[in-house]
Amino acid sequence: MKNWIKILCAALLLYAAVFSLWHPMAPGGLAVSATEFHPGRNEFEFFGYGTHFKEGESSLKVYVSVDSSAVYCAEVLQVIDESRAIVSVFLPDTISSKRFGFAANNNIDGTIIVDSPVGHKGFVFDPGTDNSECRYSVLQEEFTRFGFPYQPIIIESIRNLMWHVPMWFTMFVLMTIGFVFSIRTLGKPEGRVESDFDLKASSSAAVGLVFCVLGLITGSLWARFTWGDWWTNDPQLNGAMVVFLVYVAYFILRSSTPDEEKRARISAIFNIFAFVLMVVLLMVMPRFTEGLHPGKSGNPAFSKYDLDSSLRSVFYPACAGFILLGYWIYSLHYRIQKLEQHNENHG
Amino acid sequence: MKIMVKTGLMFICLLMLVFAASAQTGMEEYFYQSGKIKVVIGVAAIVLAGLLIYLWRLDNRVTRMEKQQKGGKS
Repeated sequence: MKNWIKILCAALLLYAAVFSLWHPMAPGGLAVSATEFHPGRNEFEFFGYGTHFKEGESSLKVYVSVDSSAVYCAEVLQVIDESRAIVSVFLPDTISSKRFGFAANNNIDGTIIVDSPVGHKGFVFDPGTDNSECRYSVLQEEFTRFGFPYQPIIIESIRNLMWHVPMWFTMFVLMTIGFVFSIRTLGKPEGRVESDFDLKASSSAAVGLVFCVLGLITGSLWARFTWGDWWTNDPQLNGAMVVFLVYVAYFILRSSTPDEEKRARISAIFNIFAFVLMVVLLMVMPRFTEGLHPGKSGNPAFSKYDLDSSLRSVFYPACAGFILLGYWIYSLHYRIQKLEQHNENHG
Repeated sequence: MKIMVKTGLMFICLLMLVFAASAQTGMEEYFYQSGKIKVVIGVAAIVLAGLLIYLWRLDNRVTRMEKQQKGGKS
């Protein structure tokens, strides 16, 4: 392996590790303290995340919307700190819908939206009503700063994108290497026992399996704190587990076949099927079923809503870095296996 | 097999280090605090720990070969 590849790998990973954690988050709305609204004055607390309520206190405005058709201006009673403000809103007896939404504007953060469910009591509902007198403007465009996008529930853990997803990309690259060498193993004329191709195929699958395990564990932890469970019935998750088990079976098959020539050929055939299965389960199937993973089910994985430019600027180097690292470990593994084989045959 | 058990134990130990701080406040609260940044730390720690354990295993295999070579020459 060339030295410049190793240096590039180290530089990319260092960059990705530092900036995945260092990069600021764009401000966002966390929640409101209100649980139930009634006609008349309602007082509640508005929670932001990474916002500048205190700094932009003079321009702070809070709105309560009803089904996006009517907007009521809330009065800011007190700004407690940068992310907390106590506001009060006057609601009439008759409103058009049961769905409340919240927004806050200021000169520094732009528009922040909170979408938390709030109950209702004592209202008369009339879909045609529009008695709102408040004018509301969205300040999104001009205030978009260079920061990781704020997503409700995910919040800071969006940074996991640079750690969890490259695991799978690296596994894909390594399994592809294994697939290519498995085909080449089968292309060799019979009787040539010392097959480097078979060693390369098994080495890349072994390292690919390590990245698969890391992807499963990190994904499990991330799922616990965003989807609420260690394991969910997402098609991507179950597919990944099946792929993991299939590649484990590949190594069991290898260790149960003592004859070198036979092992090379049988495991090469198995590996080709395993690779095809992986492509089907991880890349094709999730697009036909509903799942929790973003960007799947019909849409291309890199849709514009999932990855904005600030995420890409760290995500792509992270992927490249981890793929190079995977290749590096694979080449080490291959060389060690080759030496071991040499020692067995000649020692 | 011995190595497998060893690496498994090591992995658990490293995970314990990550979760050690969570023992006092309860895991739930620990991971939910300050915008779930702790989840990122956990994930990064798992990735690093996993790769290090794998390198450890590779290192062991080289050591074994070195020992064999020494034994063969003397």
